[in-house]
Amino acid sequence: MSRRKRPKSRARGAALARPRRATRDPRPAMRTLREVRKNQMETGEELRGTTVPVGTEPAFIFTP
Amino acid sequence: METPLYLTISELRDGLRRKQFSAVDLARAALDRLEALGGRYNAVASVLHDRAMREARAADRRLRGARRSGPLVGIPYGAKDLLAAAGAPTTWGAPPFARQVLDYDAAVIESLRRAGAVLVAKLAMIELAGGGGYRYPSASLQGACRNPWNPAHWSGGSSSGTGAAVAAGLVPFGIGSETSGSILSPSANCGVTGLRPTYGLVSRYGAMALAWTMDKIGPMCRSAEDCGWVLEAIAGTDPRDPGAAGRGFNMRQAAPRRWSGVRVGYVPGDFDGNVHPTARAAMRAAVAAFRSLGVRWTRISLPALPIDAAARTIIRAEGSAVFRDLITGGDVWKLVDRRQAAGLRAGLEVTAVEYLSAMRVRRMLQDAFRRIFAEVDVILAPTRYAPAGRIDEPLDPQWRTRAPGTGRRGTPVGGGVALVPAGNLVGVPALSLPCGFSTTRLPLAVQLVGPPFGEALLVGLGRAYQAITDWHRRTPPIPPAPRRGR
Repeated sequence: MSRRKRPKSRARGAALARPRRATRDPRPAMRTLREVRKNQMETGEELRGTTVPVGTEPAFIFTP
Repeated sequence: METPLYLTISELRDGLRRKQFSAVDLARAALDRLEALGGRYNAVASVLHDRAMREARAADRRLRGARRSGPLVGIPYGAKDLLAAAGAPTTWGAPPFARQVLDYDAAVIESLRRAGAVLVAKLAMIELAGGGGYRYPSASLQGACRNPWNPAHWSGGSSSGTGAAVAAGLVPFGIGSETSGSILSPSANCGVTGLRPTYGLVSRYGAMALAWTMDKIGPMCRSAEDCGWVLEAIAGTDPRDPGAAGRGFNMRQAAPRRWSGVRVGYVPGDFDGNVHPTARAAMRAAVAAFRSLGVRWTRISLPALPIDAAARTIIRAEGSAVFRDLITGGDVWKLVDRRQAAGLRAGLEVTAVEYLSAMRVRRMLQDAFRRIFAEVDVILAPTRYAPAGRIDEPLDPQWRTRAPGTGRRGTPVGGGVALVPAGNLVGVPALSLPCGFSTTRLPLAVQLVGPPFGEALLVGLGRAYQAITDWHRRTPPIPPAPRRGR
């Protein structure tokens, strides 16, 4: 059975109205997790590389 | 202008008092527009017909009965879908919570109901407010939220739907939330005025927690004055939020005044070399407008601290603690964005020492901001240093230094770009004000950042800027909605 083609303009309108999922990450989950963990380790190193003077202690409950 | 929903709160209040329209008329206009246009931008999580009509009828009774009524009586609004609204879906933008229905109202929704405002919709958001660190604008149950100024571009996150709905005239104002940029970024991208209040000024009871030492709830509106009116209604103490500061806000504090002598701090290069080339002319014009108010201009610099690293570590650790059951149960992989899921999973591995190191850096940053605010009354900076990117572009850090939409390497961003995470770590308020358009015709904005509980100064100065500019009155070209029933 042949499928009828939609008019071009209507197809464009429908694509705009539909939630778009085409940009989903194509990389495997485990590879993404490895990348995120590596980035997290670098972030930790950045914090460890900062000298914090003695007495600079955070409040237990944060207040601005 | 074809809809009253583009009017400011003061204009809507005048129209209601003069009986040009009723609260029911406004609610119907908002519901029709949300139904017709919300899907076009992926801006709406749910439309609340019954509740809206019930609250609108109550508002009309209030308007008839009282000689004087509050500024928000009868004004429709939308709330980010991380806020509980009794009986309505509260999805937090995330597939694992798509069927969640809570049986109570968040504190801000209670406050707005008491003030007579009419809740018409829950608005789309980035899933779980993006705490795991998402890679694509499509990281939402509702899909990538499109920018009304150019639907091929993003509206910004994570209060994406609130930014798009206010810009597209679906609601006169909305409520967003910010942990690190989620009110300021969509406000800037969509050309609306957004206020991030001081940490603790607005109760978070009934809001999804992401990072409870950084989460804040605030208004996204047509103008600085509107932000003030909404803040007045939602600010205040609440024993149900342990972070509540026990303070309120009164619009009388933001009354017009002379601005000569007010000290405005800026980071050299922020309105020139540090911003994207397509944004420079508009940024320079914004500086000229502020100068014309007679303010005193003072150079400042942000401290050389690992601001981004501290913010990321705190959000990651607190967010992964909040969603630990989701992560360990495996449902985290049902999130739309894989990097977001991986970020939350990896967050369980942040050590206590790393978290506390970040909190110590935060304390140093607070001290640095105290010194800055001894020298200046307010900081002025671009809200974002480039216009909104395309919705199909990944949000990888290296992309932030490239010309949006071209893939070509752009100007590396420097100067006060860390002001958004810094301001959020320190807990100080910020007001994003539309300031023109890029040469690619996308909205741009500047932010005013004040000391803790300095909202009156921000609203007052923002109102003075908007009295001499009209960027906040511009509306995007919205093609007519297709007719129903075809």
